[in-house]
Amino acid sequence: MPVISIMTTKGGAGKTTATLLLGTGLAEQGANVCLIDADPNQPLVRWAEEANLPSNLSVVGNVTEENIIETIEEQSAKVSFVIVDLEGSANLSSGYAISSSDLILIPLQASKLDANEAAKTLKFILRQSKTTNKNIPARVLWSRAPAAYQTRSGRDMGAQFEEAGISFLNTRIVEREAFKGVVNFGATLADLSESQVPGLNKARVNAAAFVQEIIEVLREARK
Amino acid sequence: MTSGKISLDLDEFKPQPVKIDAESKAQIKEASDNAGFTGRHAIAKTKPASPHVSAEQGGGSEVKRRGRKRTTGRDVPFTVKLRRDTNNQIYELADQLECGAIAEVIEMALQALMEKIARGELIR
Repeated sequence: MPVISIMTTKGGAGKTTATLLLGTGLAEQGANVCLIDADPNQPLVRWAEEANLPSNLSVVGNVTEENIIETIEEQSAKVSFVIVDLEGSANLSSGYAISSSDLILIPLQASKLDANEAAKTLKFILRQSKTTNKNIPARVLWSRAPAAYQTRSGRDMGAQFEEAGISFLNTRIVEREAFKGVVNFGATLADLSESQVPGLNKARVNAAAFVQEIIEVLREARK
Repeated sequence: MTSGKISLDLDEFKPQPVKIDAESKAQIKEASDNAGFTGRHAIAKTKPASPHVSAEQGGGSEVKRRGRKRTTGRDVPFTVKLRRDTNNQIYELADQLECGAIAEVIEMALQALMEKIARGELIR
């Protein structure tokens, strides 16, 4: 049932990577998953054209503000997890997706520009929650993070968000060649081999922790 | 966790249709439009000029004042003397772009300038 939207008004923040890691990770666990590509650049559709998709993972493209609600309604009746990858801009599709979602993830890199856009996105989510009188859980997700440390600007930024009562996922998506490899090779992390990308095992551990934490957050939200 | 292999019990997550009725959809659209999250083919709303930037006062005698600060980590004072029209232009942009602070206009202008330089466009 859960509908998870991945959004921020900033482009290139790591939305599609997060969508793919979550979607393929859940599919590997045997769940039926639909990825909705609401980005006009259609990155998921292009990925799916080349990828060897598991039978329990589907990708729906050409989703715009005109049909996003209907698509989410239709897919949520069919599969266990619907994940919506939104365009990195302030767009109406995001408004519709927020109101249909059980969880919203906001990928954030430790840059001021990203933080400004994440803050704008969070403000919008809060506003939409009030409009629809529905509490929509949102989590900020550190994306493309350095593997071994957190930068000082990242720490400062995180502290400011947390002071404002905004929750972060504990798991950070680390900048890894393997994650780029998922897109570049049209593969899943499970399909990739060490000869294609380095650090595959660490990437798999990172992705697994991400998927596991999302499930925990969803369970918590259902209580 | 030491391995990428996990086994999650996801049985509790079953397909369950989400439903957004037409009334909610209209409310969401209105709220989105008002927040600047617009449709791809939306016509940009022209906002009524605020008293600070009305045609009569824009280039007139009133000097705009500060008072838009919020806690953003901007804690370095920056005092400059400007021409009156430059000053007013900054405030007009702040209103137009719904900036919470004048510093935001300066930051955006700097960003645009950096991008221009990066593109190799001569600026002087």
